[in-house]
Amino acid sequence: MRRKPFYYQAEWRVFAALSVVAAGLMVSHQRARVTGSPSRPERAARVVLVPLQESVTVVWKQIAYAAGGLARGRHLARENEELRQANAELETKLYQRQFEHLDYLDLTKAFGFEPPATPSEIRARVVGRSGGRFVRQTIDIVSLGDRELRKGDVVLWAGRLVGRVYSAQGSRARVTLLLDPDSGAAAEVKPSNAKGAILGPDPASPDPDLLRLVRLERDADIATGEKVYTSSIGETYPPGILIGVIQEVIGGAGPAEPKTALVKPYVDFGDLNYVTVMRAAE
Amino acid sequence: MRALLLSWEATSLQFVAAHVVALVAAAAVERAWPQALRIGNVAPDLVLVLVACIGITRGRLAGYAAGLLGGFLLAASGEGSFAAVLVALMVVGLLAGLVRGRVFADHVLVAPVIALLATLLASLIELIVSPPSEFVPWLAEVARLMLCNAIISPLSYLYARAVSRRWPPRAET
Repeated sequence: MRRKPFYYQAEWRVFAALSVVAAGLMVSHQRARVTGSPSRPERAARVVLVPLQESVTVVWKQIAYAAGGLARGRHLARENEELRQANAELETKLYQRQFEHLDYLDLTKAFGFEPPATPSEIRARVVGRSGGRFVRQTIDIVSLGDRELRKGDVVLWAGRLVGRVYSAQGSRARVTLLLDPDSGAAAEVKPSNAKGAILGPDPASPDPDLLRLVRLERDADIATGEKVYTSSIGETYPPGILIGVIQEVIGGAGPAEPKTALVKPYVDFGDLNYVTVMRAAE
Repeated sequence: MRALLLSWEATSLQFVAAHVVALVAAAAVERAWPQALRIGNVAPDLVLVLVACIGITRGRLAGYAAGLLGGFLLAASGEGSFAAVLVALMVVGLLAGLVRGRVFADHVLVAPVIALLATLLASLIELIVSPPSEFVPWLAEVARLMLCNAIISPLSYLYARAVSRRWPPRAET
C-alpha cells in the first residue's frame, strides 16, 4: 500500500493550529469588547476593508448612473437643464444666507454678545450597510476631507435624523441607524407637544421601516400626520431634529391600554449616499 | 509552525494569494452590496458561498482555512455575533471539504445546492449561538438569503474551481 505524503500526515496539526488562531481571535474580540472598541486584528481588517468598500460603492454608483442614463437617454438633456436651474437658485439662496449670517455675527459683536456655539458639521460618504433585519442596523461612513469622526457624533441627512456614531477610527465610523431595534431616542410630537420615546421597528412587524413611538403620556392627544422631533429630555440627541411623521396611532381606547404610534421616518435608509455628521461645539 | 510550513509546501503560494484576495474582496463587496440588488433588504452572503466553494473544490483543510479567514473578515466588518460567524464559516468550509469527491463536485450545478446547504447550516449555528427575537420573520429572512446565495453561487464556484485547477495540490501534480 502506498504511503501517504508526509504533509498529509501533518494535516491534523494544521487543523489544530488554525483552531488555536480562531480561539485567539475570539478571545481578543471578547477582551476588546469590554473596553467597547474593536480588537487589533479587527481594526486591521477594517483598515483594509473600508477603503475597498468605498471603491466598490463608487463603482456600483457609476454603474447605476450609467444604467439610469441609458434608460432615460432621451430625457437627459431636459433633466440637466432643470437641474442647472435648480442649482443656480440654490446657490443664490446660499449666498443670501451667508450674507445674513455675516450681518448677524457683526450685530452680535457690536452689541457685545458672545457668538453662539454652533455645532460643527462634517460631510461623509456612506460606504457600507448591514444586511438583514436580525443584525444590528448600521452604515459605514467615511468623512470627506479626512476629518476625524468620534463616537457619539449625530448623523443627519438633509436635517433629518439618521442615527449616531457608535464606533470611530480616524475618518471612518460605523453608525447605528434609527432602524436598529435597539436604538432609541426621547421624542416630542408637534403640534400636540406629546412626549415619548422613539424606538426601532418591531422585528415581527410586516413593515420593517416603521419606528415605534412609545411611553406616551396617558392623555397624549396625538394624530396621524403629526411630526416627530427629538426632545430636549433625552441626552443622546440634540432637541428639535426631525425624525418622521406619525402614520398610525395604536391603542389608547381605555385607561389601561397604553397609546403607541407607528412613525414613518423621513430618511430613506436604503438610499443614503451622503450624510452630515454633527458635533456639538466644544 | 513546522506543520503549517509543511502544509504550505503542499499547495502553491499563488493559490493561497488568489483565495485571500477573493475573500477580502467578497467581504468588501458584501457589505457594500447596493440596495437595488438586495432581495427584501438581504444581500447575498458572498463570503459564505466562496468558503463553501473553496471547500468543495479543494478539500477540508483549504475549506477550514478559508472559513477562518472569511469568518474573521465577515465578523470584523459585519454585525453578527463574532463567535457565531467565525465558527459557522469554519464548520461550513470543513464540511464542504469533507464531501468533496463524494458528490458531483466538478459540476457547476452543485454550486446552488452547496450554497443552500451552507446557508442553512450557518443559519442554524447562528440560531443556536445568538437566537433571534422572532423566529418566523427570521425564517423568512433565511429563505431570502438562501435564494440570494443560490443565485450568486455559480460565479463563486467557477472562480474556486478555476483557481483549484490552475494551481492543483502538489501531491496531484
